[in-house]
Amino acid sequence: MTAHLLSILIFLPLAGAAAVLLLPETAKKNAYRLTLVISVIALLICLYLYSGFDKEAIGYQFLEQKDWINLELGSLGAIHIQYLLGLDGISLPMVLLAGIVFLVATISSHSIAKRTKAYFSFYLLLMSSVFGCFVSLDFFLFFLFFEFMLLPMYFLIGIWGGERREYAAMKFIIYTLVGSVFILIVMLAMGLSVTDNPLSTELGKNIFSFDFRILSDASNYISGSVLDAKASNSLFGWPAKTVLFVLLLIGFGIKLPTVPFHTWLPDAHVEAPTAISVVLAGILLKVGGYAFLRIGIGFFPTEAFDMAYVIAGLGVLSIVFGAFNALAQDDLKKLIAYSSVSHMGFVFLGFAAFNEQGINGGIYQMFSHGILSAMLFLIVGVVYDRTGNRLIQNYRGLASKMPLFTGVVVIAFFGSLGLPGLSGFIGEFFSLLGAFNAPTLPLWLPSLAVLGIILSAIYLLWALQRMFFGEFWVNRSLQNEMTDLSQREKIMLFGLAVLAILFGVWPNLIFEVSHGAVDTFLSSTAK
Amino acid sequence: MLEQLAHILTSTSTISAEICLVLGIVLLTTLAAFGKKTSAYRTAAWLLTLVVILLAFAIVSQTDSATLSIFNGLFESTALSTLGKELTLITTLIVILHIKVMGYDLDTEYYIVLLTVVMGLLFLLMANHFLSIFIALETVSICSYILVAMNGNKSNLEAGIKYLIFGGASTAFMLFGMSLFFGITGSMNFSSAAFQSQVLSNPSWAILGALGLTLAGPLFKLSAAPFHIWAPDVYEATPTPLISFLSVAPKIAAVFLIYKLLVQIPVDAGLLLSFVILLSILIGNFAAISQTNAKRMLGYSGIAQAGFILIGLLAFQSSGFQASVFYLAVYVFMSTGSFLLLDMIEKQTGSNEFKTMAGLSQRFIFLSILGLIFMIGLVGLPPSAGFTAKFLVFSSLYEQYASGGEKILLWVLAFGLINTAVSIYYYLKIPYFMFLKKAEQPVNTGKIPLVQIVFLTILGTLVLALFFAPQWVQDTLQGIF
Repeated sequence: MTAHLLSILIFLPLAGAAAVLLLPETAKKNAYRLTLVISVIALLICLYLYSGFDKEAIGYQFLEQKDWINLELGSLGAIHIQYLLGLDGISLPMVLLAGIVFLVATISSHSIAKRTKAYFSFYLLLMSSVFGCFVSLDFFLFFLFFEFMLLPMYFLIGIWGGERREYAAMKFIIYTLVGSVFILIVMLAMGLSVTDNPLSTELGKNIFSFDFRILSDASNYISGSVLDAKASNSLFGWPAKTVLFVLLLIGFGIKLPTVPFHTWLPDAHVEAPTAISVVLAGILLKVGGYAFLRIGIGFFPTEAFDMAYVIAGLGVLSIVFGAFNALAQDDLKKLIAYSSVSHMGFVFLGFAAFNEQGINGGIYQMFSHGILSAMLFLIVGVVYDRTGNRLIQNYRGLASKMPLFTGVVVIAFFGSLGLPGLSGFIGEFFSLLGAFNAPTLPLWLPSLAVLGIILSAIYLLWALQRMFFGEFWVNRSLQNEMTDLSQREKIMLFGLAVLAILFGVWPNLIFEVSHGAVDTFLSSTAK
Repeated sequence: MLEQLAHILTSTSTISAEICLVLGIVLLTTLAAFGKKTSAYRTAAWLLTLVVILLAFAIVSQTDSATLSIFNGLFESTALSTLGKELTLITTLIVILHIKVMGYDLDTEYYIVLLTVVMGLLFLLMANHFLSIFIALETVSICSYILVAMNGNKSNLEAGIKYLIFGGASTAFMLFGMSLFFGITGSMNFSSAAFQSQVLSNPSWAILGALGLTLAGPLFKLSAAPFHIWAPDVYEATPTPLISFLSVAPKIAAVFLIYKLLVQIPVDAGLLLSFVILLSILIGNFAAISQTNAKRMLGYSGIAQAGFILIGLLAFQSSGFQASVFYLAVYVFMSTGSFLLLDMIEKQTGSNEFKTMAGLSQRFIFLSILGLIFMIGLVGLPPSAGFTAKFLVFSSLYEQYASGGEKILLWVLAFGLINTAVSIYYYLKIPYFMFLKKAEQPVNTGKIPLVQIVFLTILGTLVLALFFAPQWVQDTLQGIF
């Protein structure tokens, strides 16, 4: 049983999706309950994986390996695709985060009234593919899950979203599909440059492989192929490896998202229902960061190192540009969407530092942003559920009527702007520390990022002040008693607030896990 | 003399599948001439067609895989042509079932013409001589024109005439190319040694020009640009099962024929093919975006798909053609499935306009899910075999480029991949309207017969199953190459 935990993590939601779809029309209330049970089990599995993870060991753990597809390429040989799952210190925090975020989002989905069965089956499909993305150790398998994420998300935004949902869903899918195509090109080029040597000798023909472990070992590269460092290949007149790396940078940059590929995100967030915004900001964006670290930097270290200033530059651009945009918003959800763009910029900045602090910081920032952005979008949901309006100027002095809510908002906002003692601080601090120490980066880049932190303090505190302090007033057109948090909202928001504090004062919970993997990662890419 | 007779006799035994079809056509003609025009007779004609196709398939699948030159080199039966025949007959079988499942009550004449097209295609797959290619291709073409126009409505006749005119023009190009070859080499038998040596001793631009003109014939059948202009109108006007047939079966024969010509005529046609591919994908994709009618959209998308299938032929020396054949095999199920889907939707809503599909998922969730499967298959998203097909085609192209191919190949690769992303916009329109849009009027509350859903589910399952088990097709291909 424990040997197949990762498979269970993928297939339990998948089976759940089918089960929800087959529920009789009369029992559709059970769709929510079933999803809740599955989310709880998934989180328990994630916690079990976390506790069972050997922090000292090197390499992947909880491995599951099965031969899957053999694609014959005629005279060239065959592509050998494996069903290969495993975890290391980089993916484990992401899996844990996914478990947390999905549980919260499930609870928040309780209020979905329209076409419940379809909603929860799409939701479970999404869950399955997100987990699949984080635990796959075969590029092909990863890509399969990565692509498959698009479809449920498309429908979740497109059917259950707000006014302009159809536009937002289409924009989302086209942007991300363009990114996927770039990644597919890299996958093709890489897959056809690497052979599984023992297997090739055994079968007497070229067996191409997508196994991450084989891809990361230079002795498997076919000499003269694009991955071969000695060969001088070019694509469109540029060195081939640089082109491939840039494709990955754009492909995963769209997903992250980094400025200038971010424009789908505010639309998607504003139109998506609360629960889906939570999933989108909390976990889907992290797929981009995680994959860029594992595939982009992992397999193209030299190019990444040479282009560190570009990566960091994109990161800083996102931080500053996102922050200025957030400053200009009067819709609370849009403000938070742009703050997401801004905060995810620290991930790129940290990665570009190429030292332990920076990369650990980047991973920590992803984890922390997952929790905080989930909180922020839930907060928007709380306001929106009560009045159906999200404009900041329509509210004032909410603190007097909603003290508990205000308390949570304060934690979330201060966490986001990087108050020490809350999780956001650790991520941003270590990313910046890494970036300041990095030999590859000019000093002005991280200095600009600090400006981003100041800006985020301005827009968040300003919004806080306008909405929550002063005398209570709500725009007359929104007749509503502003009641404080309901039981369900308390569970979600308090839970996340506790996590934000916990990970703020005890960063080793993540660092302990990621440290070893980042060490190995750095030493293997240093070559 | 006796030797010749023996040769003809063995040759004849090799084409027993085709003879079986001819017998079927004769029987059907008798039925049409002397039978009454009642529903019972029409059902009998359908049944007879089904039996003939099944019989032909049984014969073809028993064929010896050895290469056999028949009728003095006019035709050649190879393992490859057998595979092409199998694919063609499977397509025909699906279409015949489609006709019955959807409750069409076609006149016997339709079956006669349909079987004649199939017969022409089987001969075309074996043709190994410019003369036999021309005759087989014209058999297919002329019967296709009739098939399109036979319904007799104004729109059918218009589409038929367009098809005829463009078909005539491309045939003229092809004949001109063939005559150039004859002038250059003095031979019509392109696999003969005399032909080969003459080709090699002539300047390559002349050969390339002749080849380009000759390819007009198969490219027309493939609806590849610049011979695509007939496709949208014909797709829109022709009854759905017939266009389902015409959108796949001739493509199979055309791709096999182009492959044969490329292998036999030693000239680098990479640039020419690249041009055709880029143009097809560009025109097909960008014209499909603005369509409001699903059948017409599939017409344009068929042009783009032809471009994608042709990509494999750019790398025909290595693994490319296998990739193309895999693509074709998947395309058989994706395309016939999509047309069956549209037909089922039309039965419910009365039209193929996108806007009438709005809100269908509320009433027919299963149909909508199947629609989603076919469309992601056509886009080429995992986990559908459409992805595997595109993946194989693009990997063969990449490999061809990496092993010292021309720069244009890289452009084709990049352009093709980017266009895959563009194509999601129009393919997703069908699920988009079914799932996302609200119905303007109350959705028809009619029921879809179970047999239709089952048939569509089988096709949809195959599109998914070939992703997880590509070896079903690939093992056969491995045996051939």
